[in-house]
Amino acid sequence: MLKSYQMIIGAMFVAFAGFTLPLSAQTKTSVAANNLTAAKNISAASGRPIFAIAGQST
Amino acid sequence: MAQFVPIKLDVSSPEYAQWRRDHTPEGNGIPQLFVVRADGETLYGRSGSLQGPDLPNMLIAALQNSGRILSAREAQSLIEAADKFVEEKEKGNYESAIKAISRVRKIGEPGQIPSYSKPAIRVNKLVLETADEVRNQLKELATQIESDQVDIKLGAMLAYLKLRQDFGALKLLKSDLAGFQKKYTLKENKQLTREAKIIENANQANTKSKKKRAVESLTELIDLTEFEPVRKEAEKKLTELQQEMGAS
Repeated sequence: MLKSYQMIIGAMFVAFAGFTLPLSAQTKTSVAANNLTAAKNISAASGRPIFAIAGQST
Repeated sequence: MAQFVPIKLDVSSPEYAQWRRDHTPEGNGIPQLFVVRADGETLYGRSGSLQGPDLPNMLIAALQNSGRILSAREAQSLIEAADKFVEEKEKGNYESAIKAISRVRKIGEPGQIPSYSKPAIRVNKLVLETADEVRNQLKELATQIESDQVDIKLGAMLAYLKLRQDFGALKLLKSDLAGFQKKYTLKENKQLTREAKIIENANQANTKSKKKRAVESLTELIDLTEFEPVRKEAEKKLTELQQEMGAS
C-alpha cells in the first residue's frame, strides 16, 4: 500500500517537473518551500499558486 | 513548475489538519492534490491521482485563474509605491500620492492589478478606498453645485477643480469626474465656471512666472466679476500671492 502510494507521488512529481508551462521571462526562477508557512509566504508575495500533494509520511 | 510553489504535506501533521479545514478536498483517499491561489482561494482540491495529460491540464486551467505572477522586482515596486502613496496621502499631497501609485502602471492599472499577491491586493485596496472617498465628495459637490447661492456653487466648483487636479490621473475615476464635469459646464454656470478656473489656476501657481500671471488675472477678475463671492475669494488669493512674492 505504502509502496504504491510512494510510486504515485513520485510519478506525479516527475510529471509535474517534466511538463513546461509558458513562462514569462521575469518569473522563470524556480521556487520551493520547505514548509507550509514558507510556501504561503512565497505565494502571497509573488502571486504564485501553491501546488500541494498530501499523503502519508514516507 | 516555476509558476507554482510546490509542497508535500503529511496527512498526519497538525498543519495538514488546518490546511484540510481551509481547503476541504473532494473525497477522503490519498494522495490529495490541491492548487491554492495566492489569496487563499482553493482552485483545486480532490483526492486521487491524475493520469496522463490530466495533471498538466488541471494545472494549466488553475494557472489561468491564478492572476498575474510577480517578479521580486515588481513586488518590491508595488510595496514601495503603496508606502509612498500612504505617506503622501497622509500629508495631504494627493497629487503626489497618485503620481507615486501610477508608477506601477506597467504591472497593471492601480485599483485593478490582476494579481492575487499581497502587494497587488494592497495597492488595489488603497486605490479603491481612495476612489470611493473621491466619489463621496463628488456626490456632495453635485448637490452643492445645483445651489442657488453663488458662494456654495463657487465652493463646489473650486473643490471639483482641485479633485480633478489631484485625482484626474486615476483611470478608475475618469467616468465619475466626467459625469460631474457635465453639471459643472452647464450653460447657466458658464461665467462662474470661467472665473472659478482663474482662481484655481492661481491656487496651482507654483513658479514665479505663474504667480505673476496669476496676480494679473486675479486683479482683472476682481475688477470685472459680477459675483461677490468670487471677488472675495480672488482678493484672498491675491493677498496670499502678493505676500509670497514679497517674501521671496
